[in-house]
Amino acid sequence: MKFLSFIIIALLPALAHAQFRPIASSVELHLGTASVRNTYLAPLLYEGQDLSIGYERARDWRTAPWSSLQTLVGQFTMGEDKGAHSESWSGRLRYRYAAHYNCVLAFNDDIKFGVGPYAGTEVGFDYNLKMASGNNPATARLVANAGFSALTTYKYSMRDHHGVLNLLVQAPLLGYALMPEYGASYYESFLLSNTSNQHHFTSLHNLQDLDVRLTTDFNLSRNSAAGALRLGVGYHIETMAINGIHTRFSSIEAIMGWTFRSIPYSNISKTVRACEIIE
Amino acid sequence: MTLRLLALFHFFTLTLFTFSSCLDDDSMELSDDYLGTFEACWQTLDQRYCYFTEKHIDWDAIHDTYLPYAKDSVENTVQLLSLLDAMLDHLEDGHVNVYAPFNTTRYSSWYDDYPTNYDANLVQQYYLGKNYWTASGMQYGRFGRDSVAYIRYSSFDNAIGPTNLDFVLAALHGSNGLIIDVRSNGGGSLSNVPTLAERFCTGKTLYAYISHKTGKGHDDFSSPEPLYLEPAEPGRISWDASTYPVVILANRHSYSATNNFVQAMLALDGTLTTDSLGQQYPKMIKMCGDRTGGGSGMPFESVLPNGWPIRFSACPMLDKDRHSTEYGIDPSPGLKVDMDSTTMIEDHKDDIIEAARRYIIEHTRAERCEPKDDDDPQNTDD
Repeated sequence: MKFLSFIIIALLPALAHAQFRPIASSVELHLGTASVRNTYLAPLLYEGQDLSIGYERARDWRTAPWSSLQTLVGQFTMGEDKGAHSESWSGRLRYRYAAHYNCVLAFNDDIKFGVGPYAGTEVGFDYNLKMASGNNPATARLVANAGFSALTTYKYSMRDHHGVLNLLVQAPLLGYALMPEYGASYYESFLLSNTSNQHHFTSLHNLQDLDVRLTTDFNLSRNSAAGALRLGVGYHIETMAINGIHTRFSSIEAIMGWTFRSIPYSNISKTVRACEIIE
Repeated sequence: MTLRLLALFHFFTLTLFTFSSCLDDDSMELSDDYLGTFEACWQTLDQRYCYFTEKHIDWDAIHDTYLPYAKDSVENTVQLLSLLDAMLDHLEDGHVNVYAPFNTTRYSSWYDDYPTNYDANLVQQYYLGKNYWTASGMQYGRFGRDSVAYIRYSSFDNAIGPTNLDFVLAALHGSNGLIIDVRSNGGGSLSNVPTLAERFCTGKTLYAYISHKTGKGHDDFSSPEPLYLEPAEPGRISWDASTYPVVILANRHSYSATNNFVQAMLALDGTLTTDSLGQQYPKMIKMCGDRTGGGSGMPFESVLPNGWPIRFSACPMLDKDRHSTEYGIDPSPGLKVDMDSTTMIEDHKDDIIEAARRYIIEHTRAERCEPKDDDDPQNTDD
């Protein structure tokens, strides 16, 4: 057993990347400002603070040079209109799965460029506190789409500490959105099950969305297995115009988190079985 | 190849970055000064109010009439609210309000200009008395002299619990008929309407239509969606209106959800109930008192640039014959009754309740119920 453990520990660093497809995961906290408008509720733009929690997971595929990137972000904003007369809250939960075809620049193998499709979904709500006692204080949001994703990474080192700079850009090209008709009530939608003209195909003519994130993962110690500090900035803007209703959700955030690499248990089991054969 | 892809990607990103706010509409975000608030109020209603055509209102002309005052005469928020109040009065709609921190605009002529036809003290002292019971916002009892049941429901904001309603109807079982008094009930939650009305329903019954705006034009509406009443779920206590007549009491202050409730109940009148022997009898559900106040447009809200909420009728509701009930529903034939002040003061009688009692006694098919003992906690009078 002791000999087996020694084999596993000795083999891990050598095999972690190429053969066992390690997972790079990041847990992030985002703080920033946001702007929200939803004319189904009120025509005013609400600006204020934004707090998000994010999780990112990157992994190479078995079929090189493809890799996957999954992002999950939960976002909450509180804003006021420009005269500070009324307040609005918004929440978003966004998941995306991107597949990147990666290539390294011929003149500099520290720069890797990955591009490919992504698919994602988003749910959320907008709630206006001034309208809390009325029939339409809030509206829900459901969007699913597919689009274009690109990730550029640059490896660098500073005084024997290594780091990676990441630029991620994603934009949907087509999808689906749930949007009530201009003056439809949720009473009619839910209690009477009248959902006519609420399901819409989306593309650049009625939904424009851009997500840009610039982050760096900086190893604080020389041992890369210990993980890396993630710092960065993110910008997201999404506007939609369906059924005469216009929405806007934009945010600029500072990102802080931690990136760590792990090897799936199934890969470790393979190592153990390989060692048994060796024995 | 990689460089070309990089260049293309950056061009695409910059293009999206530049145009990604094109779909946002800030045209209605006016300034929060007096003129901007006036324009936003007018514009919100212009795009979202649902009764311009039905009420023959020239909203553009009204804008032109009041704009000079908004530009030159308004000097403080009190004057601004007064100006908005005057403009909104043209809509003649109790569902249109602007809520300032110090006052609320309102149109009340739909009941102010008519007899009140309800005296809460009279009902409390001489009809409900001290022995009434109360559940889910309903005060109820039975008039001992003629064994007519009585429910007073003062607001549809009071949630009706299904189990509470079971107990209410079970307690009143055995009466010759039922009076449901919704006079001066200004409305509330629409969801309470079917909760109460379904207890009188024995089969799926069309009672109303609802539509909504599909665009900013004054005539941009969806196709009317039918609303049906269905019988209460099995196990719930219902009321047999084909044997024990039901009379709804209403006045000019019966508004909004109350108007919708009266509409739903009257849609059940005449529909057939099949008894245990297979015989069919029409339900007897009538309305007694005065025309209701109307208010059939489901209201929405928005917010003006200065932070004042504004409420307005947004989704018109029609009766089962697709007629508008925005201006109210008339009492059943022969049951238009106004309260007489002399009767009230000298005889302590509510003429509308008395008319309803007479109707019930004349039409009930129940084996005539004997007056209950004085010890019966349900007895509330005589």
